[in-house]
Amino acid sequence: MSLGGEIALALRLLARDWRAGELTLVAIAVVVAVASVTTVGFFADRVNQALSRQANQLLGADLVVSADRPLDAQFAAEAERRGLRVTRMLRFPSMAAANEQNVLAEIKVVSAGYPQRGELRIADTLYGPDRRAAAIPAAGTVWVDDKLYTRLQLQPGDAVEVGQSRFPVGAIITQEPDSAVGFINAGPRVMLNEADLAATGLVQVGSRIRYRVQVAGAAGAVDAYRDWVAARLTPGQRVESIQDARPEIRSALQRAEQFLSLAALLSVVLAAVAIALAARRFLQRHLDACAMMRCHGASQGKVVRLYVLQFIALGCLASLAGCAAGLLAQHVLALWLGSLVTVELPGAGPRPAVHGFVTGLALLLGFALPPLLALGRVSTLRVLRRDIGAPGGMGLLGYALGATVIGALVIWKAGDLRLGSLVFGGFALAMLVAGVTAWGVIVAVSRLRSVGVSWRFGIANLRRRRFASVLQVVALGIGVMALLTLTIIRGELLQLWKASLPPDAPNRFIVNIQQEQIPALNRFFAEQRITMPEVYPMVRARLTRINERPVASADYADDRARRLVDREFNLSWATRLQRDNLLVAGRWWESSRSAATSFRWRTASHVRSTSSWAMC
Amino acid sequence: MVRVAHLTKQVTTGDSKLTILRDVSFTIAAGEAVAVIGASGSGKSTLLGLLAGLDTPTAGTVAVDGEDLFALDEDGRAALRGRLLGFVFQSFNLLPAMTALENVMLPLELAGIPDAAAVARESLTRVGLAARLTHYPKQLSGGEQQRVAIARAFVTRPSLLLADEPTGNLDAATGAEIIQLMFDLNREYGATLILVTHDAELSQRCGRVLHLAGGMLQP
Ligand SMILES: Nc1ncnc2c1ncn2[C@@H]1O[C@H](COP(=O)(O)OP(=O)(O)O)[C@@H](O)[C@H]1O
Ligand SMILES: [Mg+2]
Repeated sequence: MSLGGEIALALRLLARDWRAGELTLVAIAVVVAVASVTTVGFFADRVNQALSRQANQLLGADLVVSADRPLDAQFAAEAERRGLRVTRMLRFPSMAAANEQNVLAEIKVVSAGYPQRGELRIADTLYGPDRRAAAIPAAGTVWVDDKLYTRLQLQPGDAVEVGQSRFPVGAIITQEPDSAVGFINAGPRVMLNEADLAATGLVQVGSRIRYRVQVAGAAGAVDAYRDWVAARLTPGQRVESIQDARPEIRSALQRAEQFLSLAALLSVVLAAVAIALAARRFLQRHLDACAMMRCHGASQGKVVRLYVLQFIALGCLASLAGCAAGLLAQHVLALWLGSLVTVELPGAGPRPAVHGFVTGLALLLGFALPPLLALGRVSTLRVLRRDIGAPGGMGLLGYALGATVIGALVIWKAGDLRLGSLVFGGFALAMLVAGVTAWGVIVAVSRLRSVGVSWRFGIANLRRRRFASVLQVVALGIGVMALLTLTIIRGELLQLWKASLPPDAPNRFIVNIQQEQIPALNRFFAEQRITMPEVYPMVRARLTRINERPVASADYADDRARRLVDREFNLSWATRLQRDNLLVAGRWWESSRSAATSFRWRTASHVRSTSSWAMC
Repeated sequence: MVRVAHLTKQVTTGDSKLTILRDVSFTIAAGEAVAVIGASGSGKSTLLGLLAGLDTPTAGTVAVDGEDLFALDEDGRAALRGRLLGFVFQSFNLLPAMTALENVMLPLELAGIPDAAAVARESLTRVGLAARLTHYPKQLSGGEQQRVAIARAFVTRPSLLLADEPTGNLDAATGAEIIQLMFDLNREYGATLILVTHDAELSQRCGRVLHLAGGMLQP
């Protein structure tokens, strides 16, 4: 009989056993295990994808090297040598003028290929329909955003003056990646082709220019390049990639994924126990079928092959069903956790399904293979003498394969040998304790002789089926342990989660509230029955003098300090110290006796000042 | 067809040695119908198991169709069974997860014979169960189950049919019908029949009777 013939026969046997309900329990166990693994996998995959996409969007690339001096050519050259795509960008503040008006704008100078990630969208008319930009502004033209367009009261066909040149406005930018994340910095923008930079005459000593080399390509190559860059950074140079983006969401996701993976894993362990028990039952119930097949001329090898093929087919089908169930369940999970993840979730990738499939098949074969192999050794004499039982000799060793599979799955899912070993060791220990205890109890109970008939009968039964009884106790113990672990871990995780944020941490910020808008805001909160949050004043200021001594960035060697001195600060004031603010040095003022200021610790440590600052 | 020489079977139970068959020798020609009779525990089933190569003897040889069974390995004996032998058992030995038709199909499927369903259907029709093809064993009476088993035994056209007390679990009337069916089919297919029974009357219908007592063949 050919392999094809054997597969066909195995499938027919599978259909018959399935119809007779012989495999329902095994199938359910596999479906549940695969579904729980894939549910978590699909969901985490979607959120991760969303975060990466968002992060790429923010960067406009996979990796950005930036500096406040022109970047050495080696950075771009090396990236190109590694097969990565490279674009250059620089940005600086400058005046843009038109119609006899001036506006401080951010000038963004880009090279062809920008943006590598995310979307640049433009429109031909103000607030008109927009489209994805196919290229960067043609040389000799600029694109501006709506803020600049309105402030300069531009009309179609107008030109904008930047530095020493005049550029016609080619389009209005409606969306661009890598726009500064902070809302306050999102000033008017002008986008310029790099070919026109020299003509503006704006690149001079002292110009506040940020230079960026943007790189995109295959993940592995980008990572390798990142390592290469990191070793060559000089002060004032920075490298950013998607790993740096949204760390708070990523760590929350990681925690959630860890918890959910663990939960999924516990269901895998439970499923394994169910599969082990069901496979034992399958073995017991197929002794006759095997003996008959051998009577009808099937060799040992053929009997084993038929059953193994049958289980592989079952494993494949059940795993597929599990993946489908997981795909459905993750939708529910996404709805549930939707409030935590505010980003739009992209569709799930195929990887979690592959993982689930492998898990299901490994689990089934790990626990069913030893009993199936034993089926080949069924005594053919059983057709004549029904009292000949299952072939022995496997015993606990038969579960070694299953235990190995579970161990490997745990370590794989934990993604960490130590953690995985701990979880697996804990389970093994619990199983051992449950097994030894059950065994001890059965032995002790069988010693009780002088009890009633029904008792004696029951005990005899228990003793005869000692192994099966112990197995059942262990299975029950594992189930209880899994549920307990889950409950405890869930509580701990939530606790941890809550502890990482103060209970009254705000969910939303409202900025740029004007004085006359406060009453309306008050009314809004009253209508929504929310206590009006405190409104903090905010002004922008620049550091001018420290202890009556004028401050200039040239006085500082440290790049960071220089940047801080040049930069505008957001200032707020209050009479009481906020509960969640920590005073690291000095003391809070008691009365309005004198003016005083406080500084964010890191700012002060860079500029190295301890006494009063003057602002204007 | 069957040549048995000095067949001895001993088993060790605990610390005592039990001799179930002692120096049994006989020959059965092709096409013969032979009854093996003897009291319960006299070793009839053990002998049958050895003839089918389901068990191995302590000493002696069995040749079926000229092939020395115990010179073959397990799989070789299985192959020979598939080629030459059919079985009918006291407890029917139908597989509970399969319908009557599928039970009869199984030997054909294992042999890789195409059209197993059609051949099996024909065989079941021959034993009068054309209307019960899709019934499971537990939906059939004892007599019907044994008919399915007979259909299964004959479906591969065996040249040697081994039956171990086929009426042992049936009432007298049903048993008689079953025996009639077996003899009819045996004549049709020209198979050699070895029938184990402890029913003296039944043994009269066979051409020859082997009488086992205490594991030894009585003259
Ligand atoms: N493997 C074995 N181990 C122990 N005793 C056996 C074994 N096989 C058969 N016997 C014993 O040998 C005797 C003959 O058995 P069997 O051939 O089944 O007898 P029969 O079929 O004539 O009733 C019985 O007493 C039975 O218990
Ligand atoms: Mg018997």
